[in-house]
Amino acid sequence: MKGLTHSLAVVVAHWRVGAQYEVQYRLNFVLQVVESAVRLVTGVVAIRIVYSFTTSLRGWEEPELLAVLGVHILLGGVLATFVMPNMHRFRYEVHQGELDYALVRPVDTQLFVSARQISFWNLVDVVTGAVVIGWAVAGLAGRVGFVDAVVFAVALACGGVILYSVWMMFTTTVFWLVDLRDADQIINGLYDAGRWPIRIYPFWLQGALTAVVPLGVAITVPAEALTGRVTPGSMAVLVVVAAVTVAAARAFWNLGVRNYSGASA
Amino acid sequence: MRNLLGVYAVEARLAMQRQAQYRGAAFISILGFLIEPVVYLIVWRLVTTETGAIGGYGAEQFTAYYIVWTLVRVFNLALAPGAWDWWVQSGRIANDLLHPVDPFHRNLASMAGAKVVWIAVWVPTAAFLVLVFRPELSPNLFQVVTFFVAAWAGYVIRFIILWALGLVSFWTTRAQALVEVVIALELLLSGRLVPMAVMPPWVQTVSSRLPFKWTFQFPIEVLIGQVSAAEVWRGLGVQVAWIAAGALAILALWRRALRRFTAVGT
Repeated sequence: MKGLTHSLAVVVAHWRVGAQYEVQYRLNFVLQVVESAVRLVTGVVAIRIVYSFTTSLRGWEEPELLAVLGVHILLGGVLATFVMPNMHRFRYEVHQGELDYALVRPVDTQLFVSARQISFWNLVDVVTGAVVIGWAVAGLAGRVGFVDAVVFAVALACGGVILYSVWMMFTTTVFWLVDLRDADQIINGLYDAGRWPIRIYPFWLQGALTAVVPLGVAITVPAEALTGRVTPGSMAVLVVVAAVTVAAARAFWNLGVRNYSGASA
Repeated sequence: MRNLLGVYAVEARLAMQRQAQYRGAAFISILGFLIEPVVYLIVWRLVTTETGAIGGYGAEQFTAYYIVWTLVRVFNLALAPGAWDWWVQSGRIANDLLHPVDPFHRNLASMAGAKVVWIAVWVPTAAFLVLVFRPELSPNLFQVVTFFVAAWAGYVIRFIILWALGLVSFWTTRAQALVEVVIALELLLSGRLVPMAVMPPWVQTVSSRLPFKWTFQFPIEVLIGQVSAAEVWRGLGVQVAWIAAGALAILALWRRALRRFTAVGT
């Protein structure tokens, strides 16, 4: 317990310093607002075009699709703020032979490499996502009750955990593959596939986005929870996938570190 | 001019040989590209099953459109404006400026050479898409030949657009916001997100007056037979006009940009 408190204190200290560093660069806030606005506009335009021809896409209505878009932007913001900067630094350090400095620290090494940096202004995406979710809820006209909101919060947390774990596993392959720039296209593409509910995809693609690279389920199930479409079965799948990916990321990290011979002379 | 053609040939061949060493990396990147059109394809096939054809596009046309999309996307790859930030900020551009051939030509040629390898690597992924989605695609010789001309011309236009955006790095190192906006406009108005036939008429008008559509939708529609022969010739003419206008703009911008550039030697 003491170890956990200590680790959390280290994480919070890093985030605080990271945020203080980033707020110096205020122009980045403006750039981030433009980037978020572009993402929002293109996402909404795509949905509006589709629903200008139909009222339902395999049973999904427009406000429900907005909920998926909101969760996609919000979780994307969480990734960009808390996860990506750490993953980039981890990759860079393996390249440069500097990871040894992180591995010798007296804290949990996975936690340390996962929580050293924060990209503060990307929180704009989190706010944008929350606004879109609010917009979707308004469109759902009283369909969202207290229980739905609680289930949504749990599902969103599971979604966040899955995303972190998938990115952690992906980045851990750097111990063997060294250069991941080309593979970035695949994982980012798969995340973008989550902008639409996976239920509209053919069975093989739904399966891939649930069991192989579970990015789709991490976004769709929270949106289903918000719109009252979630079933106990899909919630159970989400929780199980979250637990399995966390354990797998941990095991993979341990394997990677054991395999890593370091770069120091 | 003859010298320049020689430079193009050498640069393209060198880039092709370099890229051929990284064919595995190219294959993985292309796999990543596939996800975006596959998602669009699934969405629009679903929509058309409920509504019937939209603006001449039924399920088969959408399928063919998004599969050819993947090839045009490979043709379309050009130097990302982000590369300029590093090029200018690190001062590495000074080396390239000492070279007797303009970096524009060398980059245009070397990306074209690398593209040949990319296209070869694209074939198996396209075969997979064809097996899964079974498009109806039977172009005639005219369509195939004009497609290749239109796709290369589209590459040149897009290269010029991104080069012009990259030149903004000489004035500001914060060009990212501008780039984001232009890329979003391109996504919406080029036919990358949806064919313009699906868009409202006023968007179609705006799109046909901007260069984006001529880099993306036009080559695709040439191959899938959504445009008549007369429209193909007219479209090729529009592409030539955009290349000429773009080349003049780059020439003017490049001279001004170089006047702003000061390198520090070691």
